[in-house]
Amino acid sequence: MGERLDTLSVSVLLPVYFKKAGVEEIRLLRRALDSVSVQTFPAQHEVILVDDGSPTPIKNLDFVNEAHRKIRILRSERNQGLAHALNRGLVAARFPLIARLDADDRWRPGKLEKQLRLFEADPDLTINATGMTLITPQEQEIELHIRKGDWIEVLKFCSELGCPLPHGSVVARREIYRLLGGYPQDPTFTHCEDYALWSVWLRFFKANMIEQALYDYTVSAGSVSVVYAQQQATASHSVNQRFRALGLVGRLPGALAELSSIIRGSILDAGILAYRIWRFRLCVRLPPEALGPLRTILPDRRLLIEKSGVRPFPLDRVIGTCASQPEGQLVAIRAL
Amino acid sequence: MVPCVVVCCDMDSVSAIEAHVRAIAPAAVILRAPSSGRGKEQINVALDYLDRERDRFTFVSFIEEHHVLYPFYAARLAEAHELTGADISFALSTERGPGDARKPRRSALPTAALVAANFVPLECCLIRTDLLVRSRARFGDYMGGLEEWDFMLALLTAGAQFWHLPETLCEARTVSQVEDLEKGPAIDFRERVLARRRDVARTLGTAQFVRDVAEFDFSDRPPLSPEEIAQLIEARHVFENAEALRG
Repeated sequence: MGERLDTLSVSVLLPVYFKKAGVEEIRLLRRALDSVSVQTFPAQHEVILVDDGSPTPIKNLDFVNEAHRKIRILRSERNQGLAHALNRGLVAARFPLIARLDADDRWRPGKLEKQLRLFEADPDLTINATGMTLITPQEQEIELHIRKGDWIEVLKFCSELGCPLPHGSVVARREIYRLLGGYPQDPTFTHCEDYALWSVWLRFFKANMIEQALYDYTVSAGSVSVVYAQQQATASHSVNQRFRALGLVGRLPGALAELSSIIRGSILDAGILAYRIWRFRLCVRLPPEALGPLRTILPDRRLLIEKSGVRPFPLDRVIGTCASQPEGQLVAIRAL
Repeated sequence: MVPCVVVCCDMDSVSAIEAHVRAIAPAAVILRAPSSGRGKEQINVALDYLDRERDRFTFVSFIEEHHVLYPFYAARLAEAHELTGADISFALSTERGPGDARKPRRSALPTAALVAANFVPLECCLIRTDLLVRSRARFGDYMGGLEEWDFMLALLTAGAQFWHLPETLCEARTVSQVEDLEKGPAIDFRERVLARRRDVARTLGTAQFVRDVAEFDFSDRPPLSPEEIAQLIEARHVFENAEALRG
């Protein structure tokens, strides 16, 4: 398989916790898996089903048919919660793209192919989601959610409204998931893990949406968004306030593009650099012009040119790849 | 990552545990602690082993049977070491009682505030082996729950650079402390820790306390509780008193 196709290989991440594995739960799980098996995959794929400590192990249930032979089942003996299950799957994932799906939801035919085409066309794209249809377990349509697709619109939604990316429709780079440490497991964000993660992700990396409903989200009395509505709203509000305070909408794409040009790397490289400077408060040897865009991207860090004391990291140690800069043109930029 | 399992029980049980551990992790090191050891003192067996095998391991972390390390635990803390040069990187831990939801444990404070209380969760830190060997730090005999604080102070006295990663990477499941309490009363634990913290304050000096507070990002954590404010004030007093004694 060629390099191009390798980059389009997909690990489908499907966490499952069945408190009680009834006929309906198994029917919906089979429906979810069927919706994966009818997708077109240009390269390799696997389905990682993380059994999050279901009392009856999922592997003992009769849900697999001939179309589901790519399934790998990981089991936690104790129920650890959604973020833990997802992170286990991220650690185990073999392929560079991660596609999310929940056990009671389903993808529409052609969904992945459309998303993978976007990743193939744009090496800087790190995450993509689609519109969704809210449905009942009996498959009656309740509501259609389609959001505007470009990067700035995604940032705008995240800042002004809330969680911008329907979780079960997301396809994203495993590299970035791992760079950010996976889904946050802070109890404050329980039932809002996805929004908490996207609010960091979107600060540094390019995202877009497909303006078409390619994913069906099943709303039932047992849905997390119904059972934990209040807790989810409180946590989402706190995530939203923090993101909004950064004032990045409309400024971030330009600043990342400027930084990428200064370091002679890609927008993805610029995002990795900015994230690591932010998270680890690094001191990095960079061209002095990098200070401007970095100040835009990191309004919650004090950035200064370090004259002495701290030994700066060379750029290639921070992002792995980049054309090297002449020594004389560089300064040590430090985040506090 | 090499698991080092310290067992403290009769020989039959040791054999059973050894067989179980070998089945899961063939490379694991299995050590036996004397059954007279109390509390975290049993970990000293592993620290002695580490002294002898220092060249094999870059980092050390601690886990007890009621702890759960989350999937990105090692990767995140090792990355923090690599990028910050710290001797100890630590993250946040949660706790969960039987049948309860998880809740956050202690939040981080500026490093020098360790003289007032421990906020570094032992189950959620990665320590450079060099530092451990250099410091010769060991866990004291049963100290009424202050062993971890005493241990962290010993590392701080040895000049450890701490780095806090504000992410939740571990869970401590609450278990009964009856077993330890049955082993006898704590001995002089408070005096020992108070003496240790005076040493730390003398070694670091008030200027370091001020620097740590000034550089700490309070926006990366929940608002300070009244207890935490009191701890910061107490820490300042410990440093000021040590400074006054030094003249």
